[in-house]
Amino acid sequence: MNKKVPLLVLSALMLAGCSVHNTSINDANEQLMTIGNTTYTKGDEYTMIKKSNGPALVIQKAQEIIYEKEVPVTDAMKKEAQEQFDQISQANPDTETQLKNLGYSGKDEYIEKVLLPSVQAEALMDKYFVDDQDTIESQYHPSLAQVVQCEDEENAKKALEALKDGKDAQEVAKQYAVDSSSYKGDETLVTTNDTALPTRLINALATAKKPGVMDEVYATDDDQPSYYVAVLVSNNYDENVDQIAEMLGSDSSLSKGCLVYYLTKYNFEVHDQELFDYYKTNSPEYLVTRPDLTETASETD
Amino acid sequence: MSDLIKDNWFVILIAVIIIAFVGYFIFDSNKDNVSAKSSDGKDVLATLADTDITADEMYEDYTPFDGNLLYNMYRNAIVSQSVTPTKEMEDEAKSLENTIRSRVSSQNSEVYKDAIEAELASYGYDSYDKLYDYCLMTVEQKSMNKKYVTAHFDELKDSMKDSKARIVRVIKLEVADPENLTDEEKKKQENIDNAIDSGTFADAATAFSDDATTAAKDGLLGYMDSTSSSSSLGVDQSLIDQALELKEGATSDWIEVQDQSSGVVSLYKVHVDTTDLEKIFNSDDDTVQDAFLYSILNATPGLEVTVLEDSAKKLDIKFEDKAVQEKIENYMDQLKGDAE
Repeated sequence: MNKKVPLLVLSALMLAGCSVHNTSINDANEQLMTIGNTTYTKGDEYTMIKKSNGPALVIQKAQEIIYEKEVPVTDAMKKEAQEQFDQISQANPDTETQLKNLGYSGKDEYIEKVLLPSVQAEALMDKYFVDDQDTIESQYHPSLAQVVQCEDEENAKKALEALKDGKDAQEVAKQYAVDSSSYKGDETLVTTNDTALPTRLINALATAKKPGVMDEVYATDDDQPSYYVAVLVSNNYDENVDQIAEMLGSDSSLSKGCLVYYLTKYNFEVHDQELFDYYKTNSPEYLVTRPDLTETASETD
Repeated sequence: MSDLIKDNWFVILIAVIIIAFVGYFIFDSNKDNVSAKSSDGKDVLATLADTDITADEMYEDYTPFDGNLLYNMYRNAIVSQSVTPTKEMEDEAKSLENTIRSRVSSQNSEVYKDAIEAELASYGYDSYDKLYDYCLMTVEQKSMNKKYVTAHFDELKDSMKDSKARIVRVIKLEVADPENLTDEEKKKQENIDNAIDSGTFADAATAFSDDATTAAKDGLLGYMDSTSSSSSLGVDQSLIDQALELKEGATSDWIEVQDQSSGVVSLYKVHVDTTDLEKIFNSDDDTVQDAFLYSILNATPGLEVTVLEDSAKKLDIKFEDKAVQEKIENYMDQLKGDAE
């Protein structure tokens, strides 16, 4: 065998390693305008669009594909989008003119490109709470409960006894709850977002075998502890999913979690080097075909 | 064969190490390289659920909304061919570029750099390496605007006649308690009052002001008008309100002014140098000139576009794509407030 062959193969591989792929449009050389000695082409404009808005536009296109797969447009969604537009145009009679100035052909295009996707996004978020139950349960430990924050340990013990005797939590709260507290025995969804509550209470509620009075007084872990007693109403995820979706739907980390979940489900893959590099630096969690990068992103969240 | 290996074991070992090293290098330099893909002859940006998102699709989706970008590209070409940069302009552009670059290196550099690059692209510059070009364009456009406003000052100054435009100087007196001055503070206050009465406000500021920045410029705080805000000038609103109340040549009584960042209250004397628009426009101080120029541009919607159109007349301009021409003209009409 010729001794030069391995060297040639290695050299070719090294050169391949240095090459990157950036996309272009088909008629990139078509001229848009010539100002004196400067000519701009469609390719020039494409580069600037890709660099200024490309990462967001590609994710937007990906979301449209996800919506189509997961929550396709229904008549009810169309009606909701139309109602949203009616509200906008009632509040601002110049809406249609302003839309045309922005570049939309008119009301219908605005509804189709902006309002309907927004309605679909809400529907997708609701669906996400069903589809990704395991992640949400393990991250937020949701449960429906009546929690009473008491003045001190002694009052908390008395409150616990009263609950065990069958007294209603709101009644108990009237006697023992801290006046300024937001935990006064009302039925509420408890999650890890309730940072005021003791973590042990949140975990105990989420893992309790059956509804009822929680068997102990829970105290926060600080110098001036707060004391809580609670009654678990339900920690059945399926039963509570609507309330969980309503409460956590606006959580920004869940919006991102929702997007990443469906990008993963549908195997989102980037084929443009500049876009890849941008996501790698700014949103590595989107690069779902590269678990080494998405893991780094979740570690730094 | 085994004899060959025995005789050359060291060479073979080195060869294996080199191959392993090169192999790792190839793997490492390739691992972040994306694979190219095309669909019906079109470059694919990304795929999802076996659906291709093509470059052409993204371009076509965006172009209905590209009026601003096209205008910026058009503006860049006109400005760069209408102004011959002087050494001062190049220095100013370089200084602006250095300020931005130093922010990039002092912050989370890659994220910040990406953000700057995206911003530059929206202004019509296709890479971070064009930062200087952008900075030079802004300096050149300022010079172009200045030249136009100078030539049309008599008609444009009307837009500023009710603006309370003025050049303001200040003297700061740091005190422990503005309500109960110490003997030493009272003495210094008296000295300042005497210096203002017997000489000029500028001289008194240089000699006595506790604000080193303005004291170094004869007490000059800068240009001010009715649109000035504490955030744009970096001083408390009470000082601005006081300065806008004064007539030309007048000096205020001692007023209490709270520092924006420290919250410390000091005593100030405020003086209005001039309210004469021509004097302001021809001020010796560059920052005053620039601030007044921006105020004139802001007071006349679309004036910057008018200046650009004036320069465009001197260039050979051809729109190969008529839709582009229409979008740029519509966008300029919007800037001038002429849109439907």
